[in-house]
Amino acid sequence: MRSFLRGIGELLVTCGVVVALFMAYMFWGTGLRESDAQHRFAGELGRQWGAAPGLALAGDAGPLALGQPFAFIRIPAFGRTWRFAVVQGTGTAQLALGPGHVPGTQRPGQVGNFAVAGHRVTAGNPFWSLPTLKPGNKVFIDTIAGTYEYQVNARPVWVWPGDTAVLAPAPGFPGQQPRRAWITLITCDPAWSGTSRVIVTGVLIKRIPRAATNGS
Amino acid sequence: MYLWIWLRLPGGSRVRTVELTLVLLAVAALLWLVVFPWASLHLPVDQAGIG
Repeated sequence: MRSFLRGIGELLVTCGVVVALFMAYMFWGTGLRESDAQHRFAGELGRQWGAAPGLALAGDAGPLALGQPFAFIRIPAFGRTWRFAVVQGTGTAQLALGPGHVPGTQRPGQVGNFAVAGHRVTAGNPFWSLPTLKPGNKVFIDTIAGTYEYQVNARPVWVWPGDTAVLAPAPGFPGQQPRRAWITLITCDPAWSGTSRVIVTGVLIKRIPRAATNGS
Repeated sequence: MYLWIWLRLPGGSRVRTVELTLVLLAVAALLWLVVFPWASLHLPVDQAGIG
C-alpha cells in the first residue's frame, strides 16, 4: 500500500514537471522554432528576389504553395527591427513559423483585401502589440515586386472567430465590390485563447517598385 | 516508480546516478524535440485564424 501510494505521488510529481516543461516550450521553444524558420525564409526570399530583379509590381500573382514564404511584413510602430516573413496559409503548422496569408483573400497590393493572421503569443509573439495600432500607423509589405505601404485607417475592432465578413474583398461588407487595396491583420484576444479576434485594417497609400527600393 | 527504475539499473550507486540522469535527460529531450512540437500544433492555444 505504501509503495503504491509512493508510486502515485511520484507519477503526479512527474506529470507536474512535464506540464511545467511544456509551458516552457510554449513560451520559448515555439519562438526558437519560429526564428529558425524565419532565418531560413529570409535567406530563401533574398536569393529568389536577387535572382529575379526588376519585376513589375504585377509580379506578385503567381501561385503559392501552403507554407511558402512570399513577403515580409514590417510595422515600424512595433520597433525598427520588427520584421516577419509571411507564409501562405493560416493553419497551425503555418502560423507556427510566421504570420500567414489567409488563402482566398487578395495578394499584396491588389484591389480587395490582403488578410494576414498571426499569433499573439507563442511562435515569437509576432502580433503581440496588434491592439495598440492606431490610425495613421504604417504597415509595409515587401514582395519580389517591391514594397506596398499601407496606412492603418481605423482603431482595432474585436470580432467573433467566425466573422468571415472581415475577410471580404471590401472588408466588413461581403458581396460589395472593393474599390481600394486593403490590408487586414488578425490575431487572437485575449492572448492564449481562441475566444475572439482583434482586427486592424489599413489601406494602400503607396507602391514602391523594387528598382526604386534598391533591392532592400 | 523511480525506486523501481533504480533497482533495475546496473552498477554501483555512483554509476546508477549517472545512468538515471542520462535516462531523465533522454526523456526530456524526447519531450522537447518530438512530443511538444507535435502537441503545440494540436492544442487550441492562441488561435489566430478566422472562419
